[in-house]
Amino acid sequence: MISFLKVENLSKHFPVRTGIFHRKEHIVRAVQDVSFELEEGQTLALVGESGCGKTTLAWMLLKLIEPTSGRFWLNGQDVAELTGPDLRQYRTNVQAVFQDPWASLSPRMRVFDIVAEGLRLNDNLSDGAMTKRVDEALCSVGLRPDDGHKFPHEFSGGQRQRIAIASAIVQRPKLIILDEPVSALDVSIRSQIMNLFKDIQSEFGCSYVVVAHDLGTTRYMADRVAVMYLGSLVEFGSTDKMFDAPEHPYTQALLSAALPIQKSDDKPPIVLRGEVPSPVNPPSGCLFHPRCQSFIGDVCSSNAPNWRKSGSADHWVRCHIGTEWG
Amino acid sequence: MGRTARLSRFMLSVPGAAFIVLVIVLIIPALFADLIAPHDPYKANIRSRLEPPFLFGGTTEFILGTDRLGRDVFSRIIHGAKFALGISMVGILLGAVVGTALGLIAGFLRGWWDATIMRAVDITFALPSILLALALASVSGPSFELVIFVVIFVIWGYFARQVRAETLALRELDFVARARVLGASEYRIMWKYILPNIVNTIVVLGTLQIGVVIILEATLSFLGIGIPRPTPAWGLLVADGRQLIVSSWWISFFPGLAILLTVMSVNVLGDALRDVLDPKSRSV
Repeated sequence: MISFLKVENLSKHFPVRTGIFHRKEHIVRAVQDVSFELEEGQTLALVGESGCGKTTLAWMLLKLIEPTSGRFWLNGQDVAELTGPDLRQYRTNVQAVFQDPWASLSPRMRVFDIVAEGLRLNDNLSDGAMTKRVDEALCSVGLRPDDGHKFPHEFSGGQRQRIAIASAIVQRPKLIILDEPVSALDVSIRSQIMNLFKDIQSEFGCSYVVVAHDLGTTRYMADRVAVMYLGSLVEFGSTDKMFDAPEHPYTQALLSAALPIQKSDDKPPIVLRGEVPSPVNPPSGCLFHPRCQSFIGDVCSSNAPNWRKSGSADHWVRCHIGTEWG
Repeated sequence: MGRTARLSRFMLSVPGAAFIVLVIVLIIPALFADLIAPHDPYKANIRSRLEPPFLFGGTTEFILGTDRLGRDVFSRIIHGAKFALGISMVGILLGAVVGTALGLIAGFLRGWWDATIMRAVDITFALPSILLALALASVSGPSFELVIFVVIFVIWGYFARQVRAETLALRELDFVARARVLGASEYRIMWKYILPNIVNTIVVLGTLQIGVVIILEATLSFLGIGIPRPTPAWGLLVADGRQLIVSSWWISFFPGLAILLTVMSVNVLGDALRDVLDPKSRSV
């Protein structure tokens, strides 16, 4: 069976030149060998600290930046090889909602034009059909067709995010990349927007890749979670398993640092030591070993752990604990 | 606040006063020169040469006096407004179009384009414009086209720099990324996403350049490499009275005053416009 979205060994390295005359070149390994699969209609969350490469990964999926190596397929088509009409098709099938609704809408365009832009570029619709599609999209996100005549500055943050969502769904895409879609919004309207995403998913059957550092969002929206640390995936699996029984020490620390929904356990929170290491000069062995609370010895600092299947579920961890080493 | 109240409040403010001065000194004379001017600006009259202005021993027939050839200074200033306004409008329009287009390309496409265009800006800023005009005038003789060319040459760089700087900031915003996700071409992003967001800056910059251009045009005319005689350009009028400045001060004084009032009020208005349209760039 061909999986809906398949990502294989995707990496993105940025060269950074320093020194006089830009002689010294360093490589920032923003994303390193990331692989995962996503089924149609499902939601995958990418979680991790700021700077761990989540957004870089999302931008590669959007074809905003080219991967250094690795490939990914949508419906069995290698995205790097798309040209002409196939690329246009990809541009209709894959859409994005960005974090900051103040920066993601051009202040000089009317809402109608913002929403209609994708249709103008990729579909040959009559004016009537286009208006109908735009009005439908505005209604789906809880705005009125009249709002199309206004400019973005006449709306609040939550409403602006609704406009961004309308422009993302108007072409009926198969995959929508949500880059921190609610983190710039007031807490009071986050749940409304998250519910809107869920409604849209059940109505149109689209898939989501959500970039989030807010674990509440992740748990509510995602079917599967991929935990990233320093550009690499460290744990991948279903949301329930990830939240109930995380295996990787980093995931455990991340969950422990989140505010509990109800204060039930007496376990003290895990506080990580030190800073996230520089992706220019990543640690040897397991990337997480300098900060790991469960550090088990030399194997962690000398050998990079391989993926290991955990239990019977489709859950994968990259840690020496639980292997013959640990 | 009603429309009338708002209008009267504007008229009483400093920019309002500047606007009134500008209308009286530059715009009305430029548009209705033939109706307002009491005399033919080109017609010499030996019998009434070097008449002093009214209230300084002259008559109401020549309110601002006459020059060496007996031409009415008042009429010549009024006709001169046409050239001041015309040259600054055409020059700034063309300079703004050239500078904006190149600034947009430099800021948006970066790389080779950016390096080449910005070095060209540096070169135009480094070349003394008066010297350039002198060199060109010695080849082609003074003409309107030459003045327009020098104006474009002097001002396009300001537009290019400012537009490039704003483009650099705008291109990183998410709405540009969103346009790329939708499959918009580079050209479309520049034209429909970046340009509409920098129009305010261009308008403000253009207004502030009017003063610069009027001074430049006057300077070139004063040096005899601008608008050819006997056209009554303001710079030429000032130059005409140069040798008689002690005895017949009015020949140079009143055209100079017209230049001063116009440039001052344009600058005040430009500042006010900037505060309204473009509060970010107050320090430019």
